[in-house]
Formats: sequence, C-alpha cells, structure tokens
Amino acid sequence: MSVAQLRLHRRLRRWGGFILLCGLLGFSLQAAFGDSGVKPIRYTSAPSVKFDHAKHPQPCASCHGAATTSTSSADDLGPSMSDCAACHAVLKPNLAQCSACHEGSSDSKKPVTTKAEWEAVRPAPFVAPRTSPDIKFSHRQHSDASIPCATCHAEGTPGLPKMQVCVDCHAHTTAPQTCSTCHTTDVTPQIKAADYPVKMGARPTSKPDSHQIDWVKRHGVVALTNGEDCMSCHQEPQCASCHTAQVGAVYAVHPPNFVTIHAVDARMEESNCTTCHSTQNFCTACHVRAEVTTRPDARPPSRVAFHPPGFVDPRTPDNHGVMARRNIVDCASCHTENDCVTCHTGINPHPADFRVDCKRWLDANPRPCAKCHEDPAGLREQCL
Amino acid sequence: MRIRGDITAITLILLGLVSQTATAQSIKVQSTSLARMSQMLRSNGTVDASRVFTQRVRLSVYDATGSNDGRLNVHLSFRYSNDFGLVDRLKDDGAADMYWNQAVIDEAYLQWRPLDTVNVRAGRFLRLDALGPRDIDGISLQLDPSLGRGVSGRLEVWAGRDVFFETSPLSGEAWDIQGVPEDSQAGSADWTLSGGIRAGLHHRSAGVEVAWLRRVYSDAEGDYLGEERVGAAMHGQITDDLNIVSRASYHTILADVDRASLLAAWRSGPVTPTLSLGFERIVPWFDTGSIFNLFGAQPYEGGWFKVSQPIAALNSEIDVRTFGRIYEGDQDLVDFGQGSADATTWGLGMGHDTRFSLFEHPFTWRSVGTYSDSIDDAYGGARALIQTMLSVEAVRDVFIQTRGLWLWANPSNERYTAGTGVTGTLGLEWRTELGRLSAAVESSQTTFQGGNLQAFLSFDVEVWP
Repeated sequence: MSVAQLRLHRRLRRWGGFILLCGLLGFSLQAAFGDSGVKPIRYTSAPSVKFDHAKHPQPCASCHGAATTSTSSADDLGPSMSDCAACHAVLKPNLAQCSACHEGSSDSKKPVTTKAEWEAVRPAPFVAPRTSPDIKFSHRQHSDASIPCATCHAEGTPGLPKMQVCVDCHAHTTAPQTCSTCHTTDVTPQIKAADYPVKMGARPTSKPDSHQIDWVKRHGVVALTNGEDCMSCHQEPQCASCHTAQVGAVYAVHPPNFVTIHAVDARMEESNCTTCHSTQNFCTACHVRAEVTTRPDARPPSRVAFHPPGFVDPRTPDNHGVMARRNIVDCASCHTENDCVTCHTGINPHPADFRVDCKRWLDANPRPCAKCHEDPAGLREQCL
Repeated sequence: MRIRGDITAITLILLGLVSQTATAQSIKVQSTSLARMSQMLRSNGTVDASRVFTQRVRLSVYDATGSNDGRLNVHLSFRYSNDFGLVDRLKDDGAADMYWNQAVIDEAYLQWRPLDTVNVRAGRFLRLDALGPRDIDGISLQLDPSLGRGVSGRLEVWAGRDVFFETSPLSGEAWDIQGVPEDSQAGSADWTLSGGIRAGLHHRSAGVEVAWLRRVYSDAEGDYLGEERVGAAMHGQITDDLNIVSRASYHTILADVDRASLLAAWRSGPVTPTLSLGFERIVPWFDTGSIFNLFGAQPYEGGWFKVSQPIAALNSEIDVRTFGRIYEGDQDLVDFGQGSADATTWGLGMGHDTRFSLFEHPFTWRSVGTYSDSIDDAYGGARALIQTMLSVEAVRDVFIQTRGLWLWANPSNERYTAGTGVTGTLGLEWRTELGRLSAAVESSQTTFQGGNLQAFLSFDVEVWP
C-alpha cells in the first residue's frame, strides 16, 4: 500500500468514525430533547411550592395520575398546576393568591379564581428535587401487584424512599433481589437484598466502609481484584472522567500548570504516568508540538538541556547507559529504538549477565535481536 | 488509536440492535463536551495555540429484551476530538496527528447474562484483572458461582485483540497505530491475539484473584510471543479499621516479578490519626519486540507513609506525608569501576483540608506543600511546591473555585538551570437542570517556559429517554 493510499485509508477511517459519532449524537439529542414527551433529567432544584400531604386526604392518583402507568424512574410524576386547579378552582380553600402555594411569589398579580382562569395559567414546569435516577423503577409493576403507595412513600417521609425500604420488601417476598433489578448495572449479582444491611450497614449513605483512608491510592488494586463490585454502583464514564485524558475533568488528576511540573514528576513517578498515558504516544505527540524533541528541525533553547554534559561519555558517572538501566521508560518517552541502534554500531549495549537471559528472549521474539545482528538464529549458541 | 473497520462493523450491528429495542426498560445517554484553549510558548519562542474540542457520547440500553432483569445490556461510547489550532505540517505527522480529527470508539459491546451466574461480553470493552486494565475487541465468558457462606467464586476466560488507548501498555506491535514515527522497528502485525484466564474468590469485604495472559502476534516472518504474565491481586478489610490491598505479577519472559505493591491504611476512630503506607517494586519492561528490554533495566523500589489527624475544633484535617525511592544500581560492578551505584530520591509534604462558612456560604479550603530531592544529585532533582485551593457555593448550584500554585525546581544533572513558576486559576461550575456546566481559566508565568494561558469549558449531561 502506497503512502498516498495509507493516508486516504486513514482519513476514511477517521471520517467514518466522525459520521458515526454525528449519527449517535443526533440520535441522543433527538432522544433527549425531541418532541416526544421526553423530559430532561433535573439535577437539583428545590421546590418553591408549599404543600402539606396531611391536609390532602384524596387518593394519591388524583394528583399523581401518571404514577400507576409509569415504567421509568425518569418520569416526572409530580402534579402540574392544572392538576391543583382541578380541585382548588371549585373547592375551598380557593387559592386566590399565588403566595398561598408558591413561596416568595408576589401577590400583586391578578387573583386567579375561576376554573377557566386556572386553565389559562401557563406556569414554569414544576421541578422536583431529585438526583440523577440511576435506578430502574416501574410504578406500574408495583401498582399492578396491589402494593399501596404508602408502603414506599410513608406518610411524613419526605422525598423518595430509602434503599432500605426497597430491600425490606424484596428480601421477604418473591421479588427479585439482584443489583440489576433496580440499578443500571452490568454486574452479575453479588449482593442479595437480604445481605444488604450486612454489606452496606445502616448508614446515612451507601458509601462502603472501604472507601475511606487514602481510598484514591487503593482503589486501583481493588478495581483490578473485583471490578464487578465497583460496577455495582459506578459506571465506566466515572473511570473515564479521570483516566481518559481527552474527556477528563479539568484538574481531576493533575494540578494547574502541570506542564511546568511534569518534567520532575515524570522522572520521579514514571510508573504513575504510565498508569494512564502510553509513554511514547502521549509524550512524543506533545513534545513534537512544543518542538522540545531530538528532531533535527527542533530548536530547544540552550538553557533547556535534556541531558547533562558528558551524557554519551561512558566515563561520566551518570552517562546515558547508566540512566537507561535506571529508568528506561524515561528514554522511551522521547526516543525511538532507531536512536539507540544508530550509535550502538559495534558497541555492546547489553548488561554483563545478558547471556543468562538471552536464549529465553530470543525464543520468544528474535526481532529486536535482528536490529543489530544479521543472524539472530546463530546467536542462540552464545547464550547460556 | 483510530477507528478500525472491524469495530465499526460491530458498532453498526449494535446500533441496529439498539434500534430494535424500543421496549427496553431503560436507555441512558451521557454526553461530555469539552473545549480547551491554550496559548503556550514553543521551545523556539513562537506560540502554539491549541483549540481543542472533544465530544463524548455514551449510550446504554439496559434490559434490551424488555424483561427488566438485566439479562441483556448494550453499551456504545464514542469520542471525537479535534484541535482546530494544529499547524498544517503536523496534521499528517505520525507523531502528532493524534490531535487532528480523531474519532475513537471507546466501547461497543453487549453484555448478556443467560443465567444468574453466567456473564458474557462481546465487542469492544474494558477488562480489569490482576494484571491491569486492558481494552479489547473480543469476547469474555465469566462464571460467578456462589460458594455459600457469603463467598462467591469467579472464573473468566477471554480472548481478543488489544485496543490501544491512553491506558494501554506499550506494545511493539501497536506502534504504528499509536502514531509513533514509521522508523519504529516492529511495524504492523498481520494478526494479534490476546487471551487469558482469571479466577477469584470474594467475600463481603475481601477478595483475591489470580490471572494469566498471553499475547501472540504474527507477521510474514513468523509468530512471536509478545507478552506472558501471571499475577495476583487482593484487597481486604481486615478489621473495621484496617484496609489492605496488594498486587504482584510475574513476567515469564523477563523471568522476574515485574511489579509488586502493598498498601495498608488504618484508622482506629473518627478523631484519631489515620495512618497509611505503601511499598512498590517495578521492573520496566516492554513488549518482547522492543530492544529497550535488552539494556538491562534495573528495578526500583519505593515506599510512602502518610499520617493525618482530624481537628474537630477547626473542622479541619491536617496530614504529613513522606516518600522515598531507590533506583537499584550495579553495586558489584561499581567496585570494578563500572556500572552505577544506587540512586535515592525522597520527599516530604504537609497539607490540610478545612471546611468553614462565611456569610452563610460553605467554603472548602485545601492546601498542600511538598519538597522533594535526590541524594547525591543522582536522579530527579530538587523541587518545592505549594498549592492552595478555595471553593465556595456562591449561590445555589453555582460553585466558584480558585487555586494558586508556586513552584521552585532545580533539576539534577544540570539538565536545567533552577527556576520558579506561579500559576493562578479561576473556575466556575453551574449545576443546571439540564446538566453541569464548568469553566476555568489558568494563567502561568515561569522562568522555565515563559507565560502561558489556558481556558476550559465543559458540559456534562445525562438523559434517560
């Protein structure tokens, strides 16, 4: 394949992906904001409505009519203002003043007293305070099972029911008990509902005990040991928000001005860098942009020297051979392998005990040997 | 790092599948939009102005069969990024074209659970095991039997082709798609296959897993073994107050432990000091196709210790931390006038995390100061850094954050002359009904690189159609 064909192929691959992305984005936007009755998720918004459930003995469905048919926790099941009007326009007390329901609103507006006037009102949509509903919930399913509303929405209990309320029922009935019964998760069930109080404890939050004391440092190994457990609560985008540089939250990992600090950090904590960054790919790309490279056309300023004086002189204490053995990843951040081969013609770069290991390495992959040796197969005899 | 034809086909199939799942119980769309602008000085004094826009979309379909039991879920995640400020000569430069018009499929897989104890994933997905994270185009079959008494087992068999993202290990057979110049020695493999097995036991607060993997690839000249490792990882909440995690892996071609670590954290109560410490040993090692393995890389060992103490009267927690690392040398050879001695670096730091209210606004104030140095000027150099951050919820759902950072560094081995830098940032976050909007601007002045300016704008939204 010629260079031109390679470039064309590469461009086609890229634009194919871009078109695919646009399609998915369009689908997403249509799903999110299209005229299909879909409501966006409300993150936070405190209600400004004064309301006392205790003073409203009517059946729940008279205000929350959609609750019996709802199959998604994302549905907004709060009553609209016209639902209130259905009663209050004709029943006492007639809420003639806005401030009777809406905290802080002015009463200077014209009182709304008749049903027709109520229906003409087009208020801002009611927004319930709730978090992102990472929960699958079908009101209809529970309604069809003749479970009274008060079982979950006990009188006097503000907001949504706690997880313990769900667990108490599911643990003692034939209802399913796996995580994925309620949560959007891929994991194979590990916790039965009956185990929930033991596993999670009766705490105000569902944050496990293990997520304390330097959890950030420990979480990686825990995830490698039992990532499924993590995925019981977290999802991949939460990993990406720190571990994917392109979409990572700003300053989630690195402090400001890290570009200035990174040189020292990279030498001292190289293993940390390579946790997230592919050394050659990531480092090289940025260094090429900044023209801080070993390329012939780069012109790094004289005060920024990558290597100390005498770096290529083997008689210097910290010469390049020593440094390469000390932290070869440091070298690989900028140099390709040809950089080594170009100079090491006729100079043995191997360590003293190389012959002990070389047969095993040669058997696995002779290609690196072929960079310098014309007959890699013949080298086998020199290995111990 | 680029979209490849095979995964594009898989994605189209999955999109088709998604379109057939109108009865699914839950569909979730998560979107992240991120714009970055920077004005930075190149080494030659000219200005590199980047204008990067990144858009990521993740579509998840839960209960694709409509049965509300989590048996079949589908996930698609795309990312598109472009730097509109990239100079023309770098757009086709293999070393830097990752900035130009990059579309990436992060995930495209279905997860099927035909039985409660059987989990199948197929497509492009992220795997985690004791040997590290790995993105693959492939398939995984996992069994999770319950063994009684709160103990569950795990057995997974997987195979596929490695996908090289930011989190991927360096691999000789992947250099061409990583954008490294074409003079890399390995070139492109005709085919490559990774596979492995993992097994584990998990209790409520503890778990242990072992894993084995082998990666082979082939080109016109033959078949090669790129990597073969076995490893183990464990975590445990030994008591209510003591947490331990550990990990180790053995590289069969290196014939040595290439990575080992142990971390422990202990706290006896809410007002008593918290102690945490860790140790790690690493031997740098690359794919077998790399000549970087042939120079005799030495292992290095490091340890760190941290103690923190809550101060209830100040509603604050202060901490003191220290670390040290030894880069092993060839002491035996030093005696004969060759090789190098061990090199040691160390560091010390202090910090605090304080909460308080002012004019009925809740504030969070964090600061940290560190100093690190190397013994005998051997490696790393000296550095002092002070950073302080203050954030406040100014009005409901609107947060303001400021940061200041001061740096002094004197790198070792005369690589640079000593210098200083100061940085200030101002950030704003608004949690609206539709999503989260964040903005930040950062300005720096340093004697290392002159001044630079960066600005960020991001918007996160999640919708459930």
